[in-house]
Amino acid sequence: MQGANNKLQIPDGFKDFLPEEAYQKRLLEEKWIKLFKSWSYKEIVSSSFEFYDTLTMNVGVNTLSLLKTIDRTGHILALRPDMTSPIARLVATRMKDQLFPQRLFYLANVFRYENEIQKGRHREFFQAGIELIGPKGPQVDGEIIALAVEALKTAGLQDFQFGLGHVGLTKGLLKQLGHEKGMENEIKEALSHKNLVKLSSLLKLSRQSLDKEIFNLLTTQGDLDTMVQKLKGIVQEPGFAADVKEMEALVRTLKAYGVEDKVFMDLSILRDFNYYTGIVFEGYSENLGYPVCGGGRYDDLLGTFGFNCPATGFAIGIERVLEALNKEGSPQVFQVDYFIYGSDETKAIEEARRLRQKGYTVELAMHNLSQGEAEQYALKKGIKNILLLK
Amino acid sequence: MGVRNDELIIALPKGKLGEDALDIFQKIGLPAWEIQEDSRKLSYCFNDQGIKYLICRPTDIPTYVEYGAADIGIVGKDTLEESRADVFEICDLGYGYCKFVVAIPKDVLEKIEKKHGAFNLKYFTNTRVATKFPRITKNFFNSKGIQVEVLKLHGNVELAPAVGLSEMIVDLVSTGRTLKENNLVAVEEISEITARLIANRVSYRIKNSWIQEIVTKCNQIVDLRGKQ
Repeated sequence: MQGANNKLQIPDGFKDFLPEEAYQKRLLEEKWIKLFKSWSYKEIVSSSFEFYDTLTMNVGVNTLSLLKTIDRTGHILALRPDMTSPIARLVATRMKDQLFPQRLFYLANVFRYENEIQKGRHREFFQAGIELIGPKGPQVDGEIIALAVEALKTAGLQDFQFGLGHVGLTKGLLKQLGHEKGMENEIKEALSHKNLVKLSSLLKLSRQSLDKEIFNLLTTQGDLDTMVQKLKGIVQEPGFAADVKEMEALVRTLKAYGVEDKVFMDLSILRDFNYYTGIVFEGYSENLGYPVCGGGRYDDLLGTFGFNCPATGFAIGIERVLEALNKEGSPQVFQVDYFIYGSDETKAIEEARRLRQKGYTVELAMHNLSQGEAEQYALKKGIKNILLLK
Repeated sequence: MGVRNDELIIALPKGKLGEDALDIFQKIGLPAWEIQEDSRKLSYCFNDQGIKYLICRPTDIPTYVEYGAADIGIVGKDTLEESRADVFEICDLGYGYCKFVVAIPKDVLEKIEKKHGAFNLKYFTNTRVATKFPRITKNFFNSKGIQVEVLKLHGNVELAPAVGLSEMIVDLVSTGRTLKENNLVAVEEISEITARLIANRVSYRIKNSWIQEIVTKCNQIVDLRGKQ
């Protein structure tokens, strides 16, 4: 650990938000709250701590990354590593009797113990996200993706793209290629990390042209229509034909939302393949080396909490979007509209109230300032309007 | 650290690895003239082609690419594996071949062979291994079920057994001359190493057609060489 003179520091992997940074963050959150509400999503707030045993029921969780503590009765507690498990737990135990679909959104801090505090990751970070619990199908998946696109647009990001994959389709194609038993995880790992060198040696591609075509389909990305056409020509496994049909319908939905230009298909996107069961997607900003958003369908999670119910959702990394926005251009700063000074306190307070009611941000001087002092202060703070009341 | 669509930033390692990469790049039509890696210049811009090269220390390449400061980069598989960077490994460039080996002093090997008939790594349980690559070393011995203490050194690893700092070393070997000069013999091969083309996760997707074209052409060159 660090020495005694670090008493005034905070632990590694955590950070403070100074007023200007907090202002940027809140602006974003306010925009998203408005957006999510207008799509009929309701906010949900969950406990920061969960029982370790609850969180580890989710097969997608990395138990090593949980920040744990032991309470005074000996139970192991862990800080939530994301909002998906807490919401699944909440819905499965306390909202079963409600009307479905449930459309939920959250803004929350989540905690992960990352060994290396790099790659834009911290041990505590903030997420904005939604979960749509209840029905399944291309229409639902379409709404989620369209809302994710809308959320990045609303945030003010100029240059972003979404990559769309489908765990079921990828599994189907890999099955069609054939490989040694027991290698599934290694193959999926190589595919999701685009380790094309390892992947081609693992798959031992036969020289048949169809195999090559499948390999290319798995490892290259393309626009939605082209990829769907290619899929239709290649997929032979009968069990996966339904997935292709579903993908075709999803593309139609995305077109109806008018977001097809922002989405490309990439079947190597697997995210956590133990956990996702259908579509998976990631959002990329052209100004950032790592994804800003991720999501997908996870139909089995609520079942592990005793309530069989399909679900889908996404989470946006708030700090990552802020970083991308800062790289794109000058961020909006906190602006005070009026500075009021003078000897007549009653008049000054009355005027401030009047302006505030009109929606202006008003700052009252706390001392009797001279005109020069007031002007200098306002100039330094960037306040355009000065009122003298005496 | 912008990932711009109209510019491709390539991280190039100083030294032989980078020179050979430029050789391939020249063959596939990328601008590569006037680049002198031993000069003090740290970046080269070819505005007409939209290509920019960054000259980096080999071990820093994964970091530049992982964060998106460079879109793609050339790196030895050894450095890549040791860094555990979250990047896409998109092409085996085939050159820069060498091997990761476990080596021990020659006289020790002879003694073991006299005593047991044949060498087995198990005789080295709970000994020390000196290496520049602690992660790869640890993984290898773990996979063999052998517990060892790994010492990280920054160079001249061959010295360690001679002065009793460690019983074994793990190092990269291309011709084997250095081992021989230090009376060491390779007793176990860990993996084979070549140069790799890596890409940032976002760049690969945003500039996909550009990067994909480079990969395809590189693969063609590598295949051609393999046939020669």
